[in-house]
Amino acid sequence: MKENRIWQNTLYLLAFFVFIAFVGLTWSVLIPFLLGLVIAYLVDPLIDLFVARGWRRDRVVLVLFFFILSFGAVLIFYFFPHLYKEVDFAIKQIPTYANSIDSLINEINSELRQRLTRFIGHRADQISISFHADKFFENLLVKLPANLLNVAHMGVWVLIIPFSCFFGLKDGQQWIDILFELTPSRYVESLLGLLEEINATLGGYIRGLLFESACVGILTMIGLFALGLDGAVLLGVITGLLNFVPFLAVIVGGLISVLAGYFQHIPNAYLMGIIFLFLGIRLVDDFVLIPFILGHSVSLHPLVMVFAVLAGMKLGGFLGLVFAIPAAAVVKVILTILFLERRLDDPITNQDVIS
Amino acid sequence: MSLMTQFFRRIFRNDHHWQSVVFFRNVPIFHGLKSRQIGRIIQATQKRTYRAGEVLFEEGQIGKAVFIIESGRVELTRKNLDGTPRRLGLVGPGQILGEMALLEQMERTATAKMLEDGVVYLLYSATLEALFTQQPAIGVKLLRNMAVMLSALLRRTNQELDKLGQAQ
Repeated sequence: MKENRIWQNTLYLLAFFVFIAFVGLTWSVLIPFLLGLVIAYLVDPLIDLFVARGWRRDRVVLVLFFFILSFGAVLIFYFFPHLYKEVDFAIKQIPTYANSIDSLINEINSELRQRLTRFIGHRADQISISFHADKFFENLLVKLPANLLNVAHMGVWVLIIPFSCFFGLKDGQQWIDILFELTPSRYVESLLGLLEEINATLGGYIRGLLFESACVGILTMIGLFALGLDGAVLLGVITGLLNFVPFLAVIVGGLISVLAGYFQHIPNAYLMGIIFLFLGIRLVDDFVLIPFILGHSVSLHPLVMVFAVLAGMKLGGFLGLVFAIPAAAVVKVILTILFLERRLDDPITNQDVIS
Repeated sequence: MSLMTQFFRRIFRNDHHWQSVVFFRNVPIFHGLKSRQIGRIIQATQKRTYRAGEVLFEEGQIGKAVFIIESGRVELTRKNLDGTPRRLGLVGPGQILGEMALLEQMERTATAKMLEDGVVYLLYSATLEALFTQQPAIGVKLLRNMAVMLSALLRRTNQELDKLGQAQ
């Protein structure tokens, strides 16, 4: 009996490792499917509103998809051309920006050498800032598509993501039902607890983060547009996307915007305006958006957050960066349930009732 | 009913959902809730088929979920001091088990085991609490129903204690 159990556990462990190896090997293929399922998970509460009123899930999903596709079409026709124009403009401006940065660095280098020669003589010739913006941008433009989203895969992704999202919405509950049917009865309550806790922690966080990022992006867009900066839409989109990674939106978004302003030769007062705009957005984010939208859905220590972000970047590139915090939150929920499962609430004791 | 309404009802109506609403409405803890509110509760539950002999929960485990029996019979037992099980009673369709988990996460005081194949809805206590925050009207009715149930249970216990006292 005991031997059987050991064999059974070994088999489960082996199956688990085979599964992990399979996921590792097919990771790049799995990404669009997973993204589709993540979108399905985010949209599901909307479907649930109708299902709770006695509507058929499959029909509601079909109608919703019709609306999403229509909205997508409107977005493609009205918003994307504007964004494309700005991206095109930014790419055309890159050589000019690169030359300006290079000449600025050359000026700094010669100034630096002049001053250092007084102290260390001819050895000052060896000291210089060895940054070449033209090479940097060239490298970035060559590597970006491969790093961020492989352009060759984009076409397949555009098809797979909605496909996976549709079936996730339509059949997701059935998949969960099957998981519960297959789980031994003694673990059913724990599994339910685990899934519900993960859902409570993650659902609110990811939906809140999306909304918060959209707010940050739109505020940036409006602010930069008001300051008369070209490419406000593109910079807003970049800042909104950067907001998925903790601490990055204001620092990098702000830096890019200030540089863009500098190269567009806008007055110094407006450059200060950009800095104040980003500081203002940070304050609004910290004191209004985060407390009201995200609340305390993910209470991770800042050190854990930074570690998670760096580890996510190392493991999964840009997507790893985006999913680092939610993944860390899931690990936290699992550990809490595993190790604090036997923690009891503070009950009202008999003494409280009698006295 | 207009032709248009009939058409939409035919396309969108989920008959299975409305059967579940009827079932839930007859469970004492959900008395007085509107169809839409019951719909939200059904959304928060997880359905599972249990085979005869499978254990729903064990005495001493921390209770985190409520079990609503749709079909099948469940036997409740409690261990005597010498470890032998003592049958406390049988629970059947439309009845609820482990409702104390809604109020406090305490150790289960009995073991529940399926006597025959049946379908059970599980409702996680924290999920229900979250629903109470979103829809306080559901919380008020549900907690009132629970208070009534507990009061009835206390009354019955008092009556049985009286009977025991008189017998002695």
